[in-house]
Amino acid sequence: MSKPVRKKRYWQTRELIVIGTFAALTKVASLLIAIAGGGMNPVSLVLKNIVATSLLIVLVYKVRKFGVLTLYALINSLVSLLFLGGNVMALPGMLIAGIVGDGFIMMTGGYKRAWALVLGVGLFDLLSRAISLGYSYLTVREEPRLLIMAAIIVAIGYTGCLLGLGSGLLFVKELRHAGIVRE
Amino acid sequence: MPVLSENRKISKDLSIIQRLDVRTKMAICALSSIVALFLEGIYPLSILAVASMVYALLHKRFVVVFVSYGAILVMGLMAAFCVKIMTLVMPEMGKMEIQFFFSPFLRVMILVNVILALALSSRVQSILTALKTLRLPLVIYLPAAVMIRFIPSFIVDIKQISESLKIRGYHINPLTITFHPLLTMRLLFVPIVVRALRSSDELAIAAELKGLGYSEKISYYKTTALSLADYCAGGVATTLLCGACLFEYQDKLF
Repeated sequence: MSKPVRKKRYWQTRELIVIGTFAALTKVASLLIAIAGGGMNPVSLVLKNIVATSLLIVLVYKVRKFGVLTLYALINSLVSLLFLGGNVMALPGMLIAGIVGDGFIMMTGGYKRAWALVLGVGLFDLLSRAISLGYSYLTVREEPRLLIMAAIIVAIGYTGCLLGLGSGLLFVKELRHAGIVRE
Repeated sequence: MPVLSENRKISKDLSIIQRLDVRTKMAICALSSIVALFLEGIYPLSILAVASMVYALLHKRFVVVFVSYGAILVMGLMAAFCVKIMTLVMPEMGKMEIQFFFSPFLRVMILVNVILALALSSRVQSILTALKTLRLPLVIYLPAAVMIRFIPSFIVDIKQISESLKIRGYHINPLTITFHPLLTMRLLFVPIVVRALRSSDELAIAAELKGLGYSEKISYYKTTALSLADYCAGGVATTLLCGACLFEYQDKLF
């Protein structure tokens, strides 16, 4: 009796669940730090981005496959649109950032190299912010000077992302030591 | 049948916006975002801003809507104040002219109104059903459903971690975040990540045991069809958006 042939899928159920869990965790942690920090607090702004980027580093270490950043960006934008007041126009921009980030990781040595993952996440963060700022420029194009404050806030946030790349690696080291991240 | 009568009572209490399908609200949101971005004139943008305000207020969550308007106003005033200071410090940047603020403000108002109508009126279950009926592939549907399911759980987890830190004499507030950011991050981050990874492992094992992801196609228990209200709302929204576009580009078209 021949066994039914099961088609091997590119994305395993386990990986999809990890991506969903981390997307939820990043959203909740960023939101709570922003609220606990009392609004326009530059320290909480940096801290929020450190946590978000560190979580993204842990995610790409846990799911080392081409498309992880794209899928993460897509899910994040979709759920933000439905629940948290995200903008539908941000979705294509985030998708482009995800595809470029994934492509960069593939071109610079693949998902096995730690530094390629770190640089890929850094590029994804940079591009997603640049695209969001570009979209904001289109919204306030009659008075582009309004964008200067937003650009300063985004720049402060991006320093948090850069710090998060380092702290993410430290956390991955701890999680690997604890046996939670295996590869 | 008391249960059925209760259900009928609940459905009667729903606002017009809540009766609309999530897909209709998503389509209105997407169309409005695109059109608002391309329009530049004050009049077409004002028409859409008023129409979108009526759409958001139909949900009858007046406090939330007006608090959001207050937040937009505060942000707008802060931005205008910063521009004013910049023009005073650097006169070469030119004068500040208030009429240039109207179009961006109206654009933001339209976007906030349609997004508020979508976000405030959609329940978790209806969003999950809508995601299913959108015929999204499993690679998008499954992580999105997990994310929607886990957001409330993680809020509870973070509250529990915060309580446990309070017991140990550490309070998380704006002061501790500002003066001890690294300690705050470590105390919050490590337990949350460990909890998240454990939750995802448990959920993945449960999903694999149930055979999720092994069928060729997702089979649907029931599919929801759009109602007359959805078609009417879609028609009104399309007419308004087309009207605003015609108003804006009438010189070029006729």
